[in-house]
Amino acid sequence: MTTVLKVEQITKIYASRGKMTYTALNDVNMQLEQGEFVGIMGPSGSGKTTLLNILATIDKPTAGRISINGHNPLKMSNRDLSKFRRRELGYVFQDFNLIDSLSIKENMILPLALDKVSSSEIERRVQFIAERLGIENILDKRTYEISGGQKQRTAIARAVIHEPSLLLADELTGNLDSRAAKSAMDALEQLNTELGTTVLVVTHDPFTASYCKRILFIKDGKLFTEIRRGSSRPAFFQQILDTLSLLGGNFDDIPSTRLT
Amino acid sequence: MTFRALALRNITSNWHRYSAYFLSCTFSVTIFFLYISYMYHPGLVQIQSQLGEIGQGIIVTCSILIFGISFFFVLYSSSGFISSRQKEVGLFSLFGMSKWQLRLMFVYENLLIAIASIAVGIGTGTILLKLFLMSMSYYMILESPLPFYFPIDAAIFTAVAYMALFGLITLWTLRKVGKKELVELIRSEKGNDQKLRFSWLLGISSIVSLVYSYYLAWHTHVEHLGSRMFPIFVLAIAGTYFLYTQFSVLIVRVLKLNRSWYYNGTNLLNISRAAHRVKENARVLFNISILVAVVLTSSASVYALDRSMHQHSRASHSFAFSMLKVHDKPFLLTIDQVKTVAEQYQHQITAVEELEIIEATSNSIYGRTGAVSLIRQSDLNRLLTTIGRQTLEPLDEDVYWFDQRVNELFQGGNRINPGTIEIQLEGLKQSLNLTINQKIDDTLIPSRYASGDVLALPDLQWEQLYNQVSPKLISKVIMVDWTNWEQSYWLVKELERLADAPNSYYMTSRITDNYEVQQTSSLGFFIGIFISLMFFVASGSIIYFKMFNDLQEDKSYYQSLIRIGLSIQEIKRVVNVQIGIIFFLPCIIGSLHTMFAMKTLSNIMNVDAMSYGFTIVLIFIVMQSLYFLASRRAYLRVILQGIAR
Ligand SMILES: Nc1ncnc2c1ncn2[C@@H]1O[C@H](COP(=O)(O)OP(=O)(O)O)[C@@H](O)[C@H]1O
Ligand SMILES: [Mg+2]
Repeated sequence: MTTVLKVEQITKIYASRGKMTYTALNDVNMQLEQGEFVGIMGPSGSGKTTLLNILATIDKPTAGRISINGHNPLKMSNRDLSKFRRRELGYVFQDFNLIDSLSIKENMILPLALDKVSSSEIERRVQFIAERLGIENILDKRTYEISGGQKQRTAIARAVIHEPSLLLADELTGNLDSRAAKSAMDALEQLNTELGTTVLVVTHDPFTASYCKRILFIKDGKLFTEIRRGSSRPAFFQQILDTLSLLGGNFDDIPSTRLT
Repeated sequence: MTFRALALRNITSNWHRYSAYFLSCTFSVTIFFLYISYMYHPGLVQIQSQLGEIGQGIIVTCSILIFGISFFFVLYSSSGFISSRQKEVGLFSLFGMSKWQLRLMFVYENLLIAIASIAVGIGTGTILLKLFLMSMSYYMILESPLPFYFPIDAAIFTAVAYMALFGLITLWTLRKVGKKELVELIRSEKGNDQKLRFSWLLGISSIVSLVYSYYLAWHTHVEHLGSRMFPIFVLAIAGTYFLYTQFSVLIVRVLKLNRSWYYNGTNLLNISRAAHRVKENARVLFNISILVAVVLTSSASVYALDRSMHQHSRASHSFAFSMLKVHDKPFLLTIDQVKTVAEQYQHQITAVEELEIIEATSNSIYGRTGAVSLIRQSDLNRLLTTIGRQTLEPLDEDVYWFDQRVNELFQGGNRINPGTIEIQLEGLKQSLNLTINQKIDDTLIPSRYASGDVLALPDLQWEQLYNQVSPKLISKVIMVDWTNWEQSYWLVKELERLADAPNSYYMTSRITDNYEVQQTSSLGFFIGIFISLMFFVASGSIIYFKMFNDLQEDKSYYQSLIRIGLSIQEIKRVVNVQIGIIFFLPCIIGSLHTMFAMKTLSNIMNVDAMSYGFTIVLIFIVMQSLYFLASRRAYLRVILQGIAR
């Protein structure tokens, strides 16, 4: 089994305007193997988004090492970094971030188009992914013509169409009702089992988290504990709730994706 | 926090939004103030009274136009400004600010901006006025240079007018603030992504009508000006409108057909987004295109007219100063007198030429009787040497024909270009047939003193005629050149005074001959440039507001692109295309319209309007590019804010 993601002793310190500093991540270590489906949970303000942004290479840690599929993004130039992002990473946002001026299909193929993949290959992949995610009937629609669940599945399709080595998702069900959340997570699970996509989701929602095979809990910027799923999801769901109550903290807010 | 402090805080913390609004208001005040104080400058008021009814009418119309433009411009700026702040207004009221408090806040804000922009505008205007009066006096050759004055009346007038204007706008704003429902204000202004509809018929006909109107404009001459004017306008305007609303979508649809090109890199983003942008902003783009066309056409026209006046006066006098002597009337001054005065005025005489002319008539050139002037070939060559042109081979029998009409602004009537010219001379029974060796388009002798067509005869033949014809037909011209003719207005005036013959037919100069026409055209030029500048600022600001209105929405768009994996370079390229379209598309369409209008002008008048038009268009595009670069910088700064690079 190959290691897709290896994070060693990541620390992130924010320096605010005064001499005040704030440690958002403190000595975080983790490792993801090929084909894993991992969740990160924690109260709001615990550093989940910060961690995900660092893994998505749009933010840099203060200290520590990262290796994604054998590459070290911290040593890359700007230009290589964006190329790396669009080849090796897929990103799903809470608010979909679909582009209104493009059709569903055009939204999906964006990473491929940016990478100058041939149009016949593009068509092939679109067909392949759209079938799996059940969006082949809405390919020619526009973003404002489809439901939230469909939007999120489109966003997932866009994130995996270039077969990234790692799929990152930040609160991807945060803007969805429970039915749409289920359909999005079902889609993600299917991709994980059928295509072997490695998935890392950040969430504060136990139901969403119950799709994962393994969950890392994070508190005040530190890894707190880790639980693994057995055979049944309902049992896992209960296990998650128990761990959360142990963890304490505030889970009621609706965190939003932020870049900084 | 008191209310006033909140209003003030609001301005200082949202400076980049307010600054655009503030700057456009200040611009508008500056231009208006400058125009008013210079139109009512005591020195210029005098000139205006000499302009006659048409000139006066032009000035009044322009004043109204300038105020009208400023009015709508400020109104537009403020409405753009208000709509960019709708959400903020919604949030304030959500947090319990009452409608009246909200209105009070707007009153404070507007008051502050109004006072600041009026003060800064008048201040800037005063500084510019000084520069302006100086260049103006030089350019228009005024009797006395315009003295600098602080135009108190103009300042008061500007302040009052703009206070009233801002007052009106504030009232209008307040009405708007109170009206909308809270939810409407808070809801993001998205959701107007209508499907891009278009009709093939309209899309194609837009191009057809544009091309056809260009074709018509290209081939319009004086004869069909009246009948073609209207169709050209209608076709061009309709064509431009459908170009934005229909053809833009059509062309995108066609481009998309080429999959491998469309699916390549940022093309996908650029094309689809551009189509939306153009379609969404079709009306604004259309308005700006027409605005640009009108502004460029009128400024190119006044520029072309002014320059050609200048050229005309240069070309119609090959010498700076000339006097005429006919058989019973001697020269008004001796050449020594002219020399003395010229030296007093610090102009050096560089050449003196004398020349005798025989007046004849001919039917051969116009098909009806017209005057021709006969000179000697040796005189001609002497003249040509003096003014630095190639001399001509002396001929035994044939003649040289100088067509002096080429430099006239309006070329009258149809001409025949015969190989031989038959001339009649008073007192001579027989007419004379002269064979043309060469026809030369140039002016040698002031058109007052020689007819439009000058024939240079072989010396022998000319001298024979000279002895035969009545002395009434013979006149003598003395032509003088001196240094710095552009500044010799006062010298000529002094010579006229000395000869006690103001505005005499027998004395003429390059500088005075076209003085009045030139002054009028210079005034026209100045006013034209003024108005154009206003329009330019207006159209630029419309674009600027449009751009910053969509800023928040755009920001999240670009940030998601970065996560998907666009590099900063690619983002910059996408931004270039998106902003570039808004800035340059109307600019290019308007410039095209202008060039074709200039072609028509060239057809109608003896002016190379195309090249003047091109100069104006070029200047405009350079200015627009500067505007573009500045806006792009500001835009990118906001877009890339907080993005780890
Ligand atoms: N740009 C920043 N500057 C300073 N502090 C920040 C910045 N971004 C996040 N933080 C702080 O870091 C902590 C972790 O934030 P975040 O990763 O967004 O938490 P989560 O996503 O788990 O809710 C929070 O306390 C937040 O205030
Ligand atoms: Mg978060």
